[in-house]
Amino acid sequence: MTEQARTWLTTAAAPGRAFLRLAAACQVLETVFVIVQWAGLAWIAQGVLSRRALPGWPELAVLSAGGLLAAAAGWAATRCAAAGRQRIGGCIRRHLVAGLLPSAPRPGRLAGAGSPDPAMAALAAVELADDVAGHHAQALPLRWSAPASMAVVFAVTAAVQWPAAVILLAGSLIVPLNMRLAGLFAAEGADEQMAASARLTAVVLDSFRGMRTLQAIGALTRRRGELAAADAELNAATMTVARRAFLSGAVMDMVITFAIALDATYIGLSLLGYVHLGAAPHMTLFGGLLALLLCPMYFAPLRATAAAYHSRERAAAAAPAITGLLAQTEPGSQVSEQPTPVPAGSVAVALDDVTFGFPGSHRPVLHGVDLTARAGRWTAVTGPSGAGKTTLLSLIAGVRQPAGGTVRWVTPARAVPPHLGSCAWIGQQTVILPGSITDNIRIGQPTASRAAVEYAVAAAGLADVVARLPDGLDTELGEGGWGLSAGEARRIAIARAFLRDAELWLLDEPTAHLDHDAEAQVIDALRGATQGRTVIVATHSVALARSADTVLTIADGTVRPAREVIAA
Amino acid sequence: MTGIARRGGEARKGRPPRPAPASSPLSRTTLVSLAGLSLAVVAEACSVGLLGLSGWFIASSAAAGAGTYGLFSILNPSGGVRAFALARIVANYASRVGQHSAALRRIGAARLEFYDRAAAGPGTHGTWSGQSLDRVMADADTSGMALIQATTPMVAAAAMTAGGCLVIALAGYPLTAGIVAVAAAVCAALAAVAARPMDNADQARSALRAELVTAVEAWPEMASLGAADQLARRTLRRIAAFEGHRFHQAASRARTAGAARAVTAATLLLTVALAAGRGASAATLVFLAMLCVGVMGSAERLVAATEARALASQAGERLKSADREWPPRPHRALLSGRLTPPTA
Repeated sequence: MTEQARTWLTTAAAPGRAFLRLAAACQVLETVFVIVQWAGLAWIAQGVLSRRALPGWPELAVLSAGGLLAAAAGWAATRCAAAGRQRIGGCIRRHLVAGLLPSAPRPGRLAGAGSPDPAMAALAAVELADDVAGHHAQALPLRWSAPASMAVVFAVTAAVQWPAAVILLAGSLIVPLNMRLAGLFAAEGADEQMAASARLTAVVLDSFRGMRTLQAIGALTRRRGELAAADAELNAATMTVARRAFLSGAVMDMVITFAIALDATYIGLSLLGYVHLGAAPHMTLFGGLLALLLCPMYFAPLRATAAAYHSRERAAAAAPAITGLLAQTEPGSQVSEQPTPVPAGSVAVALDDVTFGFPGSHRPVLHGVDLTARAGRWTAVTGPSGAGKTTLLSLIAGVRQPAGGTVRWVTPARAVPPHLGSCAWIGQQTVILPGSITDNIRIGQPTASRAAVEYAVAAAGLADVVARLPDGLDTELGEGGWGLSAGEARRIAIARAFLRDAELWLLDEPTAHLDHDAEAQVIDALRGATQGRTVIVATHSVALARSADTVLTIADGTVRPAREVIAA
Repeated sequence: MTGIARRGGEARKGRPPRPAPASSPLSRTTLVSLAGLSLAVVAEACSVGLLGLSGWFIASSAAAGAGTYGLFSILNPSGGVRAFALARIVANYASRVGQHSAALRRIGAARLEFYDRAAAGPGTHGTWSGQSLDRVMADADTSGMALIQATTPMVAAAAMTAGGCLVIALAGYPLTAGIVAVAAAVCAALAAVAARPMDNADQARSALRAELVTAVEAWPEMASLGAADQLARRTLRRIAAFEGHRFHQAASRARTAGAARAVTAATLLLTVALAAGRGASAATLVFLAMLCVGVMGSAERLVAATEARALASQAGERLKSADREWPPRPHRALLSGRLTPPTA
């Protein structure tokens, strides 16, 4: 773990610290009340032994009050820890959302960096944030309460039978060494486990996202094998970590059990008169039983801390992943000025000797790219997955900045740098927000008239769909409302972009995951809606590439004309 | 879909993969599960036995008093304590390793089954990858880990309650045994009631994961429309819902655990009072009290176990519905075409 990740892990606890302190206080109180409960039991047993009489109300009151108060303190401790965990997890997730989904395009946001991986984003916000929050909620109250709880137990044991306390102390000296070793073992395996988990997540997302393509090319069985292999890898890594954790747990159990057994033997032999230490107080059933009952309590915080040690390693593995994601999404230092307004009129796109590579990668994704997309024409960019099509589009949109060369939007007035807010982007995922169809189409132009919306609906080929709905354009979509097919949702995106009236349209696999009919409908809608506009589309679809005026292909990081794709 | 398009298919027409033969790996998994479960019950029995025997040993030593070398044998009870302690450590370690191994195998099998079902079903989730991801990762995990988190504590609690109550009854205290059994049943009932509101938190988690995958991919589109803030607000709402449900779940668990501990405190009081009332010796009283504490400790773990069972059952249901959307949405069938959730 880097210093930055370590610092981040520590500061991440800040939002929940107050609640976690309360939880720690409640844990100490819980220990005190359990001692009271056991003292009540020992008192009753002593009374029965010495007087052969029924226990009196005071003994029974101590026993029951201790138990009930301990239950209440335990409840309060868990609830406070949950509140602290909620605040810590919430803060991390809000931080992630602010980085992953900035409220407005920031040209320098991803300067030189890779775009956030959706699978990693989901993993980070759901599991990894939980790992960090869970670790703090478990470890911090323990760290604060354990010394106090152990001191209380030790003091009470020493007060009733100091030799028993000495045995406890000797046992507790060995435990931290074991915990340290356990921590070292766990740390070694946790990184591998984390990497295996990230790999499996990526394979799973890739598999389900591309299920249709896998079916089409007959690669389902091979992908199943890849999934099984990734799963087996994660299982092996998890078992390695688990075995180490269990072994260190067993060793700790052994030490603790040995200490308790030694205490029990001492107490038993003292009661039978076999052993008597001169300076030790006279052994009674009350003192002996209470000392024995307190033994496991003394070691309980150490056991819990050992368990938290493993959660710490999980958090330590999660921290670099989260900080890496956050760093990826932080604003770039070199670009902070307001984007240049795009002059009116048609837009052509010109790339001159553009190079781009992701940090940490030796090979650039794109290099020496010279490209001109003519105004008012369709340009299709094809190529295998991972070749850099989406990267190229994001450079043209201004989401990323090239490491070398220039990207310009050329208007009749002048050439300007790209600005995402001034072009229309349609991707593979269309988000439908809760609200009516009109609301969803007006997202980009909230002041658009009803007539303009209807025109956009017609241009996107949605008129028939809307006509079938009982409330037409006022039909509610999204949560609790109507659902849309993927093709219909894509045409909502087209209507939105049409209403936005951008001169440049960038389409990233707009027909991905659609069946043949839906794909044809979306292509028709796109052709109709983009008449006279400049369109650059990244696609695997032969049908979509055929409908383009120019077809380019990306291979080995460079872009070349590819007429043969049209003929394919 | 790295490299999929480039590499040709094994067959021209995609066919769903044949599920792996269920017999050999699964039967081995079942055997390992059963062995792990048995060892876990042995470990729990050793814990309860250790508590009861060590308490009895101390109280008996006190009752025998000094100078009773010939009358009280220290060897048998102390040997028993050592045997229980060592057996507990060994059984614990072995059961943990065995059960984790079995649970991980189950998780792997569940993931592959879901994939096979999704591949074979008519409604493959090409556009709903966030939800699929949640099912394959979290639901398979929850479903598989039920062996450790739900089945084992439940079986152990049942075994300890039955065994503990039998021992208490055989010791001549049937009423006390009845009270302990009723108290364990009350803990089980409390746990069952508390496990009910688990669906919401699970649905919220699934919705959040799906939302994040969709939102990250859709950000450029929404940003190009100047609507990225709406996307972020929606994701934050999902996060708030997820965390609200999670906190509600944790608070409910804390309340139930507190109530179960209160039941344990009351049961211990009744056990001690009844035993003393019937003239039990100090050794018997301590033995009964310790057995009661051990049995009720197992019963208290039912709170977490029942919750885990409820979550695993829901996760299992979702895993079986690879060709259906979850949670179901109203009105969807009225629209044409293959349907996807609104966020797709």
